Amino acid sequence: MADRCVLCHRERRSNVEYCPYHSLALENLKSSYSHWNDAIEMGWVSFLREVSERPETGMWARDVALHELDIKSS
Amino acid sequence: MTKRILVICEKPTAARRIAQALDDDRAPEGYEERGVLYFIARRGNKDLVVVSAMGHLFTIAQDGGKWTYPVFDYRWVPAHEADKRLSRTRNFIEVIRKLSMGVGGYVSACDYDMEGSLIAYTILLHVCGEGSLEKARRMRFSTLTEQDLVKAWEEMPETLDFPMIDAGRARHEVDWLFGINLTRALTLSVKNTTGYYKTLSIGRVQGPTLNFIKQREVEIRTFVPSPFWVVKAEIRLGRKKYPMEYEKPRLYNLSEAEAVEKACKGKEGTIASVKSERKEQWPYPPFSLGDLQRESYYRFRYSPRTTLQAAERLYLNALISYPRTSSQRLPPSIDLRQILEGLRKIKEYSEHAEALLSKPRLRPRQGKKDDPAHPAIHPTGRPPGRLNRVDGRIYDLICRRFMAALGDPAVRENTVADIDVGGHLFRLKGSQLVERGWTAFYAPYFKEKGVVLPALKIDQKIPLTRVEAEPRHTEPPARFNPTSLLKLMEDEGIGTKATRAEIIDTLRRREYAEGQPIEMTDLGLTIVETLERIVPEILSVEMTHGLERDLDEIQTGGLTADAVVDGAVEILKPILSEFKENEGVIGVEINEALKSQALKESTLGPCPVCDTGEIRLVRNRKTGKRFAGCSNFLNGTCDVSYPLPQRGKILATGEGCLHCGAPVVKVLRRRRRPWRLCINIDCPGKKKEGRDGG
Repeated sequence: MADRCVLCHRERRSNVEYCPYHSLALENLKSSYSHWNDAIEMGWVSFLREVSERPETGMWARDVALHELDIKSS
Repeated sequence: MTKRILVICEKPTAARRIAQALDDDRAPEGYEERGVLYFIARRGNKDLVVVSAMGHLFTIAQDGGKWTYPVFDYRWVPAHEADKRLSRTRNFIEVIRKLSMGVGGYVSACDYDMEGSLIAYTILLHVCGEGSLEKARRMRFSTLTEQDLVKAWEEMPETLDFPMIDAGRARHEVDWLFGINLTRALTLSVKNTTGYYKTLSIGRVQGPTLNFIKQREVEIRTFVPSPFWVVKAEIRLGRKKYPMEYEKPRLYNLSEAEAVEKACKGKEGTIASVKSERKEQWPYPPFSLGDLQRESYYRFRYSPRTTLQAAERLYLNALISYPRTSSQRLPPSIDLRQILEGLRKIKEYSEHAEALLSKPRLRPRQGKKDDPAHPAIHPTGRPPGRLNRVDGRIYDLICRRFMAALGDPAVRENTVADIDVGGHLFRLKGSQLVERGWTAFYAPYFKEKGVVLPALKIDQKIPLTRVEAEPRHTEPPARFNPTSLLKLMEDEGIGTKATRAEIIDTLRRREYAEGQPIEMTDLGLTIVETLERIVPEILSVEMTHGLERDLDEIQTGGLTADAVVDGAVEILKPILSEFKENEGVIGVEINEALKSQALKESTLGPCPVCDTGEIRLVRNRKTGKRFAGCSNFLNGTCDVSYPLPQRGKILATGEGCLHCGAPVVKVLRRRRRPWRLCINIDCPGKKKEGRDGG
């Protein structure tokens, strides 16, 4: 049985938690975080909270943001 | 002795027009046999038997064997043998066979394009006999007006247009080979693995098109917005307020944005410079089919298919030129004055046509794209009579665009003033048409959005009425709509002008994509993911490009049709063996997507009674009737159920009724306006409002 993404049924590579789509969403979150941080100094958690509520955020990016928030809070 | 010539047309309306135009007295004798209309026209010492086909009377079918893949053996057969729904085509074949007996010559008068040439060719070959091909000639025309048809008859080349026929035949065969094999491979992978049957199609153009939608979907779903600020300012000049743009359109830092706002608030602006320049604005070129489909979607929200169908009706009524063209050019052979003379007699266009006719020389604005077979779409000048709403709008668009293309350039004066506010520069922009030129002809479709500025002087002080740094966020790319997808297909050179709209419709019909704008479904996404991993060539634009290039080369004589078809078979062989090897994996993955899509479609919303279950569409196995019930019925905790309309498609809206909380659905029925409905028959909203409640 292949390893599955923690957020969907898709396969993931062995060294990452997410499938290629959710991995891409995580990359986008990271690169966007640097823009947010330059614009308004903010921590990673506040950033995740902010983007997970924004209507422009894509559904896979929102999934990852919420999952990362869960990890941080647990 | 009178010579009989069989003239083969593509559609009955065209046959009538062609017979009328070619008959010496403009009154051909009409006959009907087995529901097939044909005409006898007398032209000089010849009797012309003008008969119509009904599109393609012959098609490709598998030559023996089972419903499996790979399939490389095929033959051309009567369309009614391959598809029972086309049983009427049998009568056309029989009548044409009878009429062809004893004729001395043949003329192909089908639409002048690849499809038209192929329609006549297959009829001649399979109905009239191989010998008929040597005695056949080709009429070439772009409009069904009497003048064009007579000219086409008189200037007919001695032979058929074999390069175009070969290109058409090869295109059909290549598309059939790809379509039948890939569709069967996909469908059978699910059926052989799970026993479930659903037609899952893919083709050499469908694949890349689906991939375009998928790539856009991934961009949208993984999109993360970034913040930026736009400094908005407004000044008062006289009684009016004017918006100004800050020198930097976007600021990416809050403190910088706040600093600009603070520095400018309550300050007065000083005009630092004023520049005005006049620019000519050239008219748009006349319509190609793609341009017409885009403009009609933009103006009226008509789908590319609706526009094409309307344009074809207008063409068959000899009101416009042949619409399946890529050309944006009007060649000198078109008598522009004669068309304008005709338009002058139509009330809506008489004033504009008159104005254009008074010009000493008519030079149309020419676009970049050309089509060797047909000019850009233009009116013929014939009076249109009563047209239905869709056809009327498309006709108006074409006429006005044609006249606009003949108009003079419009002249626009642009003014830009730099305003200094506390050391920060703002830009005040004005623009106005000083000479209307062609825009007058395109008036209903040209909206002037200019801003007229009053006179401005250097060092003039102006009070600011508003300065604000507005927070914004970057947005994901827009989803495709039918025309933006069509444009991308056109730019990427995949499909033909005749097939692109149909391919987009097929993707929706197969439930790979839905909605407007186009959103990819889970099924579509899974199909692309699976193909991407196992047979990525099917999704690649490069493979389709290569094939399109080869198909084009048949027309120029660079390649033979057989070589191109053989090449397509060689491309397909490894793809299909990959499919066979991975059938099990493909089948399981696609079946999962089908199940999840079915569950999604049947889920109408949360249960308003138990709050934990979902209201789902259920079909009674005995009666086949449908109703909605709570998913918790299965574990015995909730037995709420609602009756549903038994006809039409029911779609979840994701909304709950404001009165009772039950799901609100959308009901789609053919030829009826979709309606929204709260599924709770006892909804208090229904009693109150007397209709559909929430």
